[in-house]
Amino acid sequence: MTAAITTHGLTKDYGMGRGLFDLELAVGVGEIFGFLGPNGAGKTTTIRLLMGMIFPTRGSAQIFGLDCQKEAVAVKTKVGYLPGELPQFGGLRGSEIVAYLGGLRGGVDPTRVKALAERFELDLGRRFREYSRGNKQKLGLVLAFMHRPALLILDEPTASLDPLNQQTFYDLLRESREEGATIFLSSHVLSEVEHVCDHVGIIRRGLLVSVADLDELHHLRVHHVEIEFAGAPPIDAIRAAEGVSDVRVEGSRVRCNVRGGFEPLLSTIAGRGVLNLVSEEPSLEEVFLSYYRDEKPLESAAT
Amino acid sequence: MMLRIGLRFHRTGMISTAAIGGLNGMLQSLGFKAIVGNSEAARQQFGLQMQVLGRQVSYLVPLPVHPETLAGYVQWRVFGFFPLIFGFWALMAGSGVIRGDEERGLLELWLASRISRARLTAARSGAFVIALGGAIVVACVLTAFGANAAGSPVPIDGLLANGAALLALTAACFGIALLIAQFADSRRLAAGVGAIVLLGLFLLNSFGRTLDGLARVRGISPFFYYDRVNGLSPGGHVDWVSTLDLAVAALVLIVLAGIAFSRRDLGSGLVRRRPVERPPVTQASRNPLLRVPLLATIYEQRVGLVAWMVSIALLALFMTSLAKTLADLVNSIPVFRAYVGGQADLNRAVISAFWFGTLPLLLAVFAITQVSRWTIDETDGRLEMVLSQPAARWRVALEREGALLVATTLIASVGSLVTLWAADAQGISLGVGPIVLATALLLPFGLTFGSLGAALAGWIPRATVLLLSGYAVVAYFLTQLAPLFRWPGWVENLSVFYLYGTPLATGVYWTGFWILVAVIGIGMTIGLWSFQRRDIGR
Repeated sequence: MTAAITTHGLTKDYGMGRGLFDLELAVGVGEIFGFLGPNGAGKTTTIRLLMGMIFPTRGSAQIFGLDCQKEAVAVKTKVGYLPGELPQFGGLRGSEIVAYLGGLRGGVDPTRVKALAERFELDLGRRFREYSRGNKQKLGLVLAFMHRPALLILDEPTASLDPLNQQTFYDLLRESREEGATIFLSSHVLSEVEHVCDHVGIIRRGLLVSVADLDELHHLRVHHVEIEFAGAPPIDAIRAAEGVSDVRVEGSRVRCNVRGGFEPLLSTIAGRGVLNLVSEEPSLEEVFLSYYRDEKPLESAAT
Repeated sequence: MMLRIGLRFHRTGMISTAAIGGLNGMLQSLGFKAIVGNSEAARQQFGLQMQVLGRQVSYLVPLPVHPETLAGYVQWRVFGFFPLIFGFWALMAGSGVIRGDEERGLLELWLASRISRARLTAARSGAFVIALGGAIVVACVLTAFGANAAGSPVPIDGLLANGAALLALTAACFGIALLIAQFADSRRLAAGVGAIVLLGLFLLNSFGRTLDGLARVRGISPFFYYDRVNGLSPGGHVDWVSTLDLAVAALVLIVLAGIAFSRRDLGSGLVRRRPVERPPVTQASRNPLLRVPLLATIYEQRVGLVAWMVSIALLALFMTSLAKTLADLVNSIPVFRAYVGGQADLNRAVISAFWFGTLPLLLAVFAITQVSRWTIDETDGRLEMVLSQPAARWRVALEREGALLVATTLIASVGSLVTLWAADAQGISLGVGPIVLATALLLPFGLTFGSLGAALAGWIPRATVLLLSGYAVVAYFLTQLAPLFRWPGWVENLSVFYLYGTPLATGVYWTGFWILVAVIGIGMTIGLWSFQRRDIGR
């Protein structure tokens, strides 16, 4: 698959362990890639490096084969960008901001702008300082999508959007992908990532912990299992089963966690008088959090 | 805690005002000896000339009292102009405190953390008064130092009385601006309305000095009470009751502003404008100016730019109208001839020295405000948004300089056209050629500040405006004092104002021109080089 984004050893070292370190990433054309991480993990630093706003300490980044620093202008003809926080445009009206930034692109399709503004129900006649936070975010999305870019780089795009507008945004993402666009978005919102992304990268303390597709990520999940036996549970055998942990017994019920496949546990309890078995799939949030606890992170499915 | 934050916010205003006020006071004191002459007759003659000039400018400053003495001269030339300098700071601070905090998103944060609106008003106003006190102390100390160094110490009790009156006046102006800001829905509007009101009150008092009709209502202007304190001139009167009245008025205005603040919604003024019904807009603006980045910058600043052009036009009218009086003054005071360099056409030489000596200073202030916008664009994240479009960094940097050049051209042209017309109306022939030359040379002058700003912003963005302002002040005073003290040429060449020369009277100062071109070239090269290579960010 052709890569829309590739980075090799991309590093921005701010000292004292802060920054981004040795990022190796490949995002394919047409993918929706979610970039997850807590505050200060390095998401925005990565995005700003890709956008050529800051220069790497070492390593390199390419967008559609173009160097993000040396060929920054060519890169930006292909990119639509939404920063994490929109800047102050003071007394300019929304329509003027669109015209001004569109002018820097040599003009944009007015029908596209109209369609986007109508879709988000955004009045471009108001002054920027009069916009609510949500409306500012909608304006940012109009600016990012207005020229039908081949790559969208979106830093926390649904921040401040209400659920209806979030849905509009997700629809727009899907449509853009159908038109062939690649999307790279950072987020804290796991349900959002689960909802729209094909692949997820998880970053912690400036280091990429894992890159996986959603199915692979689901395989890494720890399932919470509760088994009810007709008689005494085979506790020792369950404890010895591969992938089983945190075994707790309450009479004839056994609660445990299962990581990976169910076969070892199922073969252990087969023929032991199982009355009921319930497996709860933990949310992606729990998977996500497991990366951020001080415990050893789960093994990545792919890097 | 709030007080400390407030003091921090007033830091730049305090340093700038103290520096301008202090340097002005000290240098006027030091320069007095050089301009007043040595004999008693020369001193008396000087005093008479100053009285004549004083009547001409009585709508700016009070009439001088014993200007032939250093104390009387300082009272007139220094403390007479202080209300303009400190009043400007009060306007900016009054419209910036609370209303500006609100636009920066700080107000909501503070109010959410158990700070009442009354306490916030008190703390932010208290911080301004403390910063103001500091600036006035510096200005008074430097003035006293200059007078001592000149061998004519000024009375300390009089200096204290002047300082107290200035404190009370500036606090009252601050209170007016703060109160107005509670009725406006943006800082810009608050500053605009505040400026009109303060200017109105200032002119009411100024014209009331000579017009009987206005004299009766002068009492509503805070500047009237300041006029009643003359602590330095021999025989000057200090009216402590007026100072107390001003202080009480300041307090009442701040309390009223606090009440208005506590009764209004955040994000709007106390009096809300009725929203205009109109269908929603879903199209990009069709304004062609917005599609050209350079012109978009000019379009965005159109209101400010028009205000600059109108102000410069009025000032050009005023300064040109004084030309003949100033020419008489120069004729009778030998030391002033140093400014005009023995020109045959004294009227032209005076306009060249005094108006085309002031116009570059004003253009320097304008250029510095532009440089300040560049640094704010970066800290606010707007530059990042611009650079996320396919626009090369060098192009953005050059467009900024281009916008500065266009704006400087507009302001300078208006000033020059009005000067030409006003001079012609007085029978002074300046000639189109020399005026065009003097105007054209203002463009490299303005660009010098732009390129120095670009170079500094690449290395020390936070200190850029302060350093540029400091250089402008020092360079200006250097130009004013160098002829009086006969400082060597190389010292004069350090001043960008000297490098501009006096093209209206003496043609192009080529050495200065080429130094300006070199500074622009080097500054822009460094600026572009660092802009291409540095991280952009908040």
